[in-house]
Amino acid sequence: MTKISDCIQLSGVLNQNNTDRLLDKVNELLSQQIKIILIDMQNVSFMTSSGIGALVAALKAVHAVGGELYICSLSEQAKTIFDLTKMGHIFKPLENRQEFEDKVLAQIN
Amino acid sequence: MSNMPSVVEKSTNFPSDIYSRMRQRIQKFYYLVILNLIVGVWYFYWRIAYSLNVHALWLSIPLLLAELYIYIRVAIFLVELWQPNWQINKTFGQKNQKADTKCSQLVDLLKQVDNIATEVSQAEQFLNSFQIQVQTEPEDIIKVLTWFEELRQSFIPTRAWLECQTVLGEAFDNAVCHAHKKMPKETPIQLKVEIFNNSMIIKIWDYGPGFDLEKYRQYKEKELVDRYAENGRGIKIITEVADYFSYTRQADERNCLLILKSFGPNTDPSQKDFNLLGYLYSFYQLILLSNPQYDRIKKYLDEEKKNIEYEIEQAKSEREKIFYFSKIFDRAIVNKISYLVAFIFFISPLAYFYTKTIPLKSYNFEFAIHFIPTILLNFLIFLMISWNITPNNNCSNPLEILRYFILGKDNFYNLKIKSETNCLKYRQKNKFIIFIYWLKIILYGLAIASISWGSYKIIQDGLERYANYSISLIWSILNLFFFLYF
Repeated sequence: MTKISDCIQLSGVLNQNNTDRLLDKVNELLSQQIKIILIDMQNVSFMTSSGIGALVAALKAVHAVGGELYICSLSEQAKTIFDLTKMGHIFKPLENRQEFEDKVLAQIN
Repeated sequence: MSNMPSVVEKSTNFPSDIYSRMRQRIQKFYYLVILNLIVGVWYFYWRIAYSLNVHALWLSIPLLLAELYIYIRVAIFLVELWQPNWQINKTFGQKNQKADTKCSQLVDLLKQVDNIATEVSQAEQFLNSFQIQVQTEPEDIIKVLTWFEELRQSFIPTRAWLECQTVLGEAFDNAVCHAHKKMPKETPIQLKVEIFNNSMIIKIWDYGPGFDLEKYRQYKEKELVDRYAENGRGIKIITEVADYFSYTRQADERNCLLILKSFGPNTDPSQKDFNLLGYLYSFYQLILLSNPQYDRIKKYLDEEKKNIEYEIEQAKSEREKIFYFSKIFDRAIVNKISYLVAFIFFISPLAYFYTKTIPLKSYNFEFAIHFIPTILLNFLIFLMISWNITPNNNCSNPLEILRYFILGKDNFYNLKIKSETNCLKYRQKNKFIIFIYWLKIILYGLAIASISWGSYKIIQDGLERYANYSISLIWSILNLFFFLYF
């Protein structure tokens, strides 16, 4: 059985500095036919609008191949910036990994 | 006359507009004055051609000249009211008012700026101010965030704190990725945070080439927000969070991104003054971000002030053009001759009682026809003019009353004070004032003397020459009356 979903664990500060790495990772998964991707932000202490931009780019890349992108475990600061940029409507962030497994993976299976 | 109430109403609406006031007031007795001038010409024609007592030219010629003098003086004054240049300058009053308002506004603004500068220097010692300097290194954002986390105060609401943190990150990202794009890593980025009880000011200095934030804002406003855009959210976030922000080029070649964020009202009353200082400081930041700007504002204000002062000076000199010829006439003749004229009027009835000579051929019917309308008309005008004017208004002669009537109180006093200071200068130079004092006493004596002598003569001689006696007596009584009145 091929893996249909995978999780990207981010950590530290998500800013201009590491957006390319995030996109590379997403593209790598897509090339492995993994179309349901969860980005776990549990260990992201801080993110800037560049991080938002990178997430949007990732989302577009995933949608382009008919996949789905989820994010979970936003820190308070990340929630704030999602709120300020009104990105909540686009991403619909999940509370944590458990929610992802319960809602998304359960449906697929 | 039916429209008089509305005229009065208007004049209260525009009290400082000298021209409209003049026009309104002149309307009230315009025809009367014209009639007076015409009747005056008619009267003098008769006086010169038919009425002179050729047997007593020593008396009749001076009196005629004295009468002519008064007529000319009044005529110059009245004609000047209709001189065309006050028609041209009728907007002057409004201009002057506008200049006054603008000037006071600017002076207020300047005062405000000065006050704020002092308040700010006082406020600065109470500030919770923190600084850090980092390099153009994306990783340095961790240093910045760690530093900022240490500044966290318990009274700052979590949401506001997170927003400030987010904005700080955006500002730092902006400095690294945009302002210092092609600059060496060692280029410093300075950050300063000032925390008040209900607001926070974040300042970030970079050495970039500068950026027109206002232009960008206007440009962005027109653009629809693309939700799937991959960049360009930084300024949007700052706009969302900040109560105010600006990006200013300073004189030291640095750019300062200033962000002001308030947390809402503080409920602790003991903190009120401190909050006020905070707000003052914030306000100061908005208008006086850097010294060159402050200087620029001040310079602009000074220039404006100078312009306005010049405008006002111009306006004042325009105002003084009114009664220009009257003033020249007064300066050249009135001070020297008016008392001589008064002397002639006072001596004439006395001369009759002494020499039985009158300045006219006779006080006959023809005299009555010419003299009574003239004097009645003058008296009517005088009455109209002085109707609401009490001796408190400092009008010392009929012409002043006329001016008071036409110009209104404030303008009258402005003119009067000016001319009186000129007069005082003149009087201090010689002993003119003492001379006037004695002259007044002499005139007073003449009037009393002619009244008492006239009364004595009537009792002694009976009424053999009824008209001459009574007219001379009435004349001296009127002299006394005018003397006492002025």
